[in-house]
Amino acid sequence: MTGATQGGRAAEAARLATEAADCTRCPLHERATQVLFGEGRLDARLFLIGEQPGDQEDKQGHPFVGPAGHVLDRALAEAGVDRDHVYLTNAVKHFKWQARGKRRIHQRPNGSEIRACRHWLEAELALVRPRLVVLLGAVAGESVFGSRYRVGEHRGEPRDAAAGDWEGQVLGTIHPSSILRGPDEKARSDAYAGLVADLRAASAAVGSLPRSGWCAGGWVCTCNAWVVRGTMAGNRSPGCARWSRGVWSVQKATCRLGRAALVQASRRCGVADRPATAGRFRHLAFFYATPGGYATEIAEFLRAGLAAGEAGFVAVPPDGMALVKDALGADAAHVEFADMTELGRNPGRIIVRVSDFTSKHHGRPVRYVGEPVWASRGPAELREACLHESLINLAFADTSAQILCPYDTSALSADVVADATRTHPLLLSDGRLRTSPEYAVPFRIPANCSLPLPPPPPDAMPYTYRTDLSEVRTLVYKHARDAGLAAARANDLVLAVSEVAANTLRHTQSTGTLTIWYDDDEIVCEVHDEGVIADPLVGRRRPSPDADGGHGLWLVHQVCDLVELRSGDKGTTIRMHMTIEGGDEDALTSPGALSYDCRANPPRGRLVW
Amino acid sequence: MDLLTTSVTTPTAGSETFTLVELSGEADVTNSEMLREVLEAEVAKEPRTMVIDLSGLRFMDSSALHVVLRANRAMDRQGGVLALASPREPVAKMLRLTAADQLIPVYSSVSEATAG
Repeated sequence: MTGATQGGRAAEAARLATEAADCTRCPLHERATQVLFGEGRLDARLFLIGEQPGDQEDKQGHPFVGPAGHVLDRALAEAGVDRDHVYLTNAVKHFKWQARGKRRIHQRPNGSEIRACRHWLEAELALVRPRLVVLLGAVAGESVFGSRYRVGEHRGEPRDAAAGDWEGQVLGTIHPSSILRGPDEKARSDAYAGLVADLRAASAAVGSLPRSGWCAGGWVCTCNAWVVRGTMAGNRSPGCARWSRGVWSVQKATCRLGRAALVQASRRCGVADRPATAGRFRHLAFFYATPGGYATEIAEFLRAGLAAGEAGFVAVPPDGMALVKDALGADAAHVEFADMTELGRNPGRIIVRVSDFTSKHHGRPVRYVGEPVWASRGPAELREACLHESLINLAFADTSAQILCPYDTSALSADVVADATRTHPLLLSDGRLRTSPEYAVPFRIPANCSLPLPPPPPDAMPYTYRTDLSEVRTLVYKHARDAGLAAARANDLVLAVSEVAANTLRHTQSTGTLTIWYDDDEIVCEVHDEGVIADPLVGRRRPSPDADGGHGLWLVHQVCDLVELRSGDKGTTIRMHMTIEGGDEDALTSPGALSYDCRANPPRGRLVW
Repeated sequence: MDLLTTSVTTPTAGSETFTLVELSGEADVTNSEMLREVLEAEVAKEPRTMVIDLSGLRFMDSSALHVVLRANRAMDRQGGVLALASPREPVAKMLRLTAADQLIPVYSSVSEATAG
């Protein structure tokens, strides 16, 4: 690994910040505490420019953390934009102020100060290369368009613009601080609604932005009266988009949150409450019995999308992929393919792959053919594939994705086909499309993939842990190697179990239990504790790399071959499976459920992590 | 013996002094607070360059990663550069899967991290 490519934008951003720290291009550096550069995703599609740091920003060293920042946070959340996915900066990087008693009163930067700082703004734009820049207020507008810019100009409408080496679109709106200066409640609330509408327009112009969370109450929400309880790691503003940072749950009760979060929650839940047939999002189960019928229908579905300028993605097992490519002929070149037996080996990894495809196409409507269910899958895999199909309705409800899921009725059991009618709002068979009467509205996860898991083998002994995580890792590694797992995959399992056990420590006051068993085909580690995980999509969406949480279960899904998670009043059980492949070297012991009591007889296996 | 040990030195590379934090053992949620204190104390000294040598680290979890990411943000803010050096494969894989390696440069050795 080399730093030049790995560090890439981060290193460049660090270099810029170092350079800017000594900036003396204008006199403002004499009185401000520090140069305040922008923050956020260095690959953000949405780039917001404010005026200059305020008193709080200057002291804390982060943009938009003062009163205007709180307004912006609320407005972003209400507009469905995750602050973690945008880049936030100011036209002028130093705080300009005037002393009034002990207070430092904001002063508007003048034209030459704005021009002097444009150098840094252009460097940030060249680094992030956003698709759309939102100009918050007149100073931001002036920094891009010069002193003739007026806030009302093209407000809320994207238009082409360039600054330095960057070219893209800009959209003008008001600065959030102007809302705080409104003369009365009515004026403030109107101005705020205008800002939210403009931010929505910005979000729509760059396509649906990735979001890090989903309102857990999505399938029971009927009104705005919600309360959020539980831990919100990071302890930042309460927007729905941030609720995924930790273990939390939502229940119907008196409102204790800011209004923005409530509107957000009910809006998203509202989407999930629809049968997902009326809007653009469509999720179809396609029942087929012959290879010919399979290929023809899928090719037709994809061609209709291509003709409408939509992006196409096909993830099916290899045999099916060959059939679809044949049927598409030359059109296959315009469609992306993936082998579902690899991509969807753990069905918990599929949603993020489809989201990645959607993001790559910048808001173009997407058609996705996904076949995560095939006859040779085992019972646990089929349960998880069914759960995944169900969660698709939550994950993509507010997108315009059209998703077609083929089911081979000639090979799958009647139970599996019946599950498909519960997880898909629409059914396609014999060329006929109909609404599924079995699909639950409001959205519910089907019972047979949310019932308690079958118990572990009776002779598998649970090991109780609290802070002895190193011991937990030693155990997992030893047994994984004994079971015949290769060293690298044993380390993967160690990471997964350790992350889950760490959650016990973080989110509960009691001990957890680890149970391990294996046979010829796989090793399973089950962790149970008293914690509750309410977000049904936990670990299935990519956390922002700089997030203060949310990486644990993401890692678990990334490294394990199958993950089963059940959470409720009785606590949380997470079962992590690793397949023992023919290629995995040196199986040492005979298979069978494993009994051990580590406290009495600690394992002495050599560790080569 | 402690699960995680840290050692801080200030060697020179070329004409410049940098902060070298060497970690060994296992970094997880049980010692991430200690790691945070060590890194914060070093960041507060405002070095231009800080390198965390991971070669002695057998294991690192997401709690430890968050501490490192936080130190990276603090270094960013004060115009310094944080780099990671020589992670073993399991740790390198974790950095890749979380895309932390896109935020913090990762080098195969300390000398590579401080070159140029």
